[in-house]
Formats: sequence, structure tokens, C-alpha cells
Amino acid sequence: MSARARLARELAWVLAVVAAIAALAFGAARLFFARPVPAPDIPRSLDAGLKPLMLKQIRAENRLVETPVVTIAVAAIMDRLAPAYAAVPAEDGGVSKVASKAASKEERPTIEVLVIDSPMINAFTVPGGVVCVYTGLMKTLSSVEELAAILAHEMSHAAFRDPLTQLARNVGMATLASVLTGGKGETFAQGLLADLVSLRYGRAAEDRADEFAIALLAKAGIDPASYGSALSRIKGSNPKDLKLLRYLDPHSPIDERIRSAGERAKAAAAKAAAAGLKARRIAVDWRKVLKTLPSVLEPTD
Amino acid sequence: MSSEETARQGAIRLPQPDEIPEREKEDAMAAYLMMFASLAIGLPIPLFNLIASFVYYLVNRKSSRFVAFHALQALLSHIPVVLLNAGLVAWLVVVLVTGLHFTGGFFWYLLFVLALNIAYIVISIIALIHARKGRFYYIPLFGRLSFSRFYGPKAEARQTTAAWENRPPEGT
Repeated sequence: MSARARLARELAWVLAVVAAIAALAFGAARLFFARPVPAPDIPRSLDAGLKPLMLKQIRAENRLVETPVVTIAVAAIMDRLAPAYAAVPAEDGGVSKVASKAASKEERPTIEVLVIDSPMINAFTVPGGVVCVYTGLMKTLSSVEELAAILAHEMSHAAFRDPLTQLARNVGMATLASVLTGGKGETFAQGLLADLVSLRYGRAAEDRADEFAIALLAKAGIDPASYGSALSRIKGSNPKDLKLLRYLDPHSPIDERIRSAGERAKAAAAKAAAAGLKARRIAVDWRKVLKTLPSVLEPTD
Repeated sequence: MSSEETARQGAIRLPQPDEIPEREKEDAMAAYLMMFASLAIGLPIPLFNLIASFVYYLVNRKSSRFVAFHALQALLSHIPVVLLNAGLVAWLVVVLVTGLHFTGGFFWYLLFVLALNIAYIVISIIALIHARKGRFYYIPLFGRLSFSRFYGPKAEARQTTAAWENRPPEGT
């Protein structure tokens, strides 16, 4: 046996031993940390603490639409979505493993929906379970089911605590915590809100939120295909420059999302049909809602 | 074994423990202690160990073949461990600075590096004891590389100092 062959053999042995150690460590890690650190390893008190601060800031910076017609429409949607939201198991979606990182049913924040009067095509979620929809986005949608789909998507972000995780990534845990202890004042809340409005969660987070949203819609007895059509509406609303639409993350291509939404909707609808769930329309006159929305000027920026 | 027999088999006559001066035995032992270098100055920078090992090797590579062999073996075997440790420290710093969370992968890596370090320390201590007694000890792979560097077929050509010569056993 040549010297080189002996060297190669020893190299193989060393690598094999190291690989064995790695495998053992992997097994041990799985054993000791069987429940892996939940995705956002951030105390839940932070969500609850940020919520009132952000609510105050949203009210200070925006004009909210609180006309009876809009309020009733949103309430009608939430009547359907809220029980389903509390009931979708953490592992549901059924397709991917990422979905299992959703907060367990008991830990999900209750959802509050605010409608903001603004031409921007946007919707965002505030830590603690506040979902904000802009009238600009509502006007691009063609049915109340589509709005329900958008809300379901935002509710998924709340279930996964994406806003807080992303905020913590952007500004750091220590800074977030310091807001609660009262060190920083309103200017800081202002900055946080500005961050939240345009927060992008990245492809994986959007994907699992899409998945969860479709499972949620099916569970609520709302046609899950409306999610895909809502995305198509948003895409069609401004074909010239998709980047202007803050709601869309350039890292998760809209066409791909629409396509996978279609596939998932089919699967979810089949599953719901098998369980004896029938999609029912939400009893809201969407045209009437659109008419009562305050007429806003064309976007200036 | 006669010298002809040795030559025929292509074997190399190694210095026997009683032929190696105490000083060299201690120097060879010290090569393995370099892994504790950064512990001594109290820094959590694993690369410092590697630098210490490297400097020690540079200083000793021309003094005696026995010491040089152990110094190079200690250095070579140290490289992968130090790189893995540096990876762990870097991961830790990234998590702490950016406020990301620890994932299951981190704990896996932590256990892996921990187990590897323990294995490495045990092997090093065995090698260290052998070196102190004036013996050769081959850590798999690294021992072979180091041996071929200082005792291999091409080692003769690189010899520059008298100290590298194999002296006959004393008293013959």
C-alpha cells in the first residue's frame, strides 16, 4: 500500500469518527432539546406591552375609518374568521414543517382589525394581534371574501409572531425591551410604527403565512380560492411598478404566490369538503362598503 | 536489527527514548500545551491557540527532529478543532449582537464541538505524556503528515542542522 493510500485511509477514518461524533451530537441535541426553542424566543409580555403603545401611535398618525358600514363588514368577516383562527391546529396547513412553529391555540393573540384611511395598497400587523388594512387595499379588492383572505394572511403573521421577530431582528431585543421600561418616548414609538408599516418578513415567512391563511379560510367556511384572487387583484392594481406596492415582498414573487395559492386552495377545499364543510358567502354587500369608503386623493408619492 | 536490514525494508531508525535529551522531551511536551494558550491569557478567541501553536512550530522546526515532529503534529491536529471552535464563537456573537434566537442547530453544533474538543484534549494529553517520555505518538492522519515531513523520504534533503542527525545509541 502506497504512502498516499495510507494517508487517504487515515483521512477517511478521521472523517468517519468526526461524522459519528456529529451524528451523536445531533441525536443528543434532539433528545435534550426535543421541543426546539420556539421560533421567536421573545417573552410574550413584549407583544402585550407593545400593543397599547402602537395602537396609540396608529391613532395619532392615521385617520381610522369607523363608519357603521365598514365596522359591520369587518365584524361579519371576523365572526367567521375568529373561531376558525382559534381552532386551526398549530401543525395545520399540513404541507410544510414550518407551519408547526405557529403559536399554540391558547397563545394566539386575539385579533383586532383597524381600517386606515389611506390610498396606499397595504396591510400590516402589529405585535399583540392588531391587523391594519388600508382603504387603498380594500378598493382594489372585488369581494368581501378577498378582504377576508387578506385579513387571514395578516392573522397568520400574528399567529407566527412574525412582526415581533422581524422587529427584534431590525432594531434588537434590547431596544424593544427599553420601550416598555419607558426609557424612550413617542419618537421611538413613531419609528417602530414606521418600521412595522413596511416590514418585510421574507419568503419563508410569507409562504407559511399564505399556507396558514388558506387553511384558516377553509376552516372558516370561506372559499380558499379567494386568497389567490385577492393576490391577483393586488398585482393587477398597479401593473406598471409592482415595487410601489408595499404589501408585496419583492423577495417572494407574486406570480409564484398566486400559483401556489391556487394549488393550496384546491387541496384545502378538497379537505374541507371531505370534512363536510361547505363554503358559504359572507353576508356583506361589498359594493356598498366600497361606496362608503372615504374617497381619497390619488397617491401623491 | 542490522542497518542493512533496515535499509532493505525502507524503514527509518527512530531515536530511542533514552537517546533524547530531557530538554527536548520537555519541548515536545510543551507543543501540546499550546492549545491552552488562550486560556492562559483569558481570551475566548480560539484562533489565538492556533497562532501560539504556529509560532511554537516555527521556533522549533529546526532545533530537533523529535521536537519538530511533535510540534507539527500538535499544530496540524489543532487546525480543524480551532476552526470549528471559531465557528461556534462567531455563531454566538452573531446571535448575541443581532438579537436572533438560538435554534436547534446551534445546540447541535455546540454539543458537536464540545464532544470534539473533549476528544481532542484526551488525545493531546496522551500524546503529551508520550512526548514527555521521549516516545513517538501518532495522532491519526496528522501524525502521518508530520512524520513524513521530518522522517519521510524527502526529509533527509531538508536537513540543515547537525541536531537532526540520528546519533547512534550511546555506549555501543
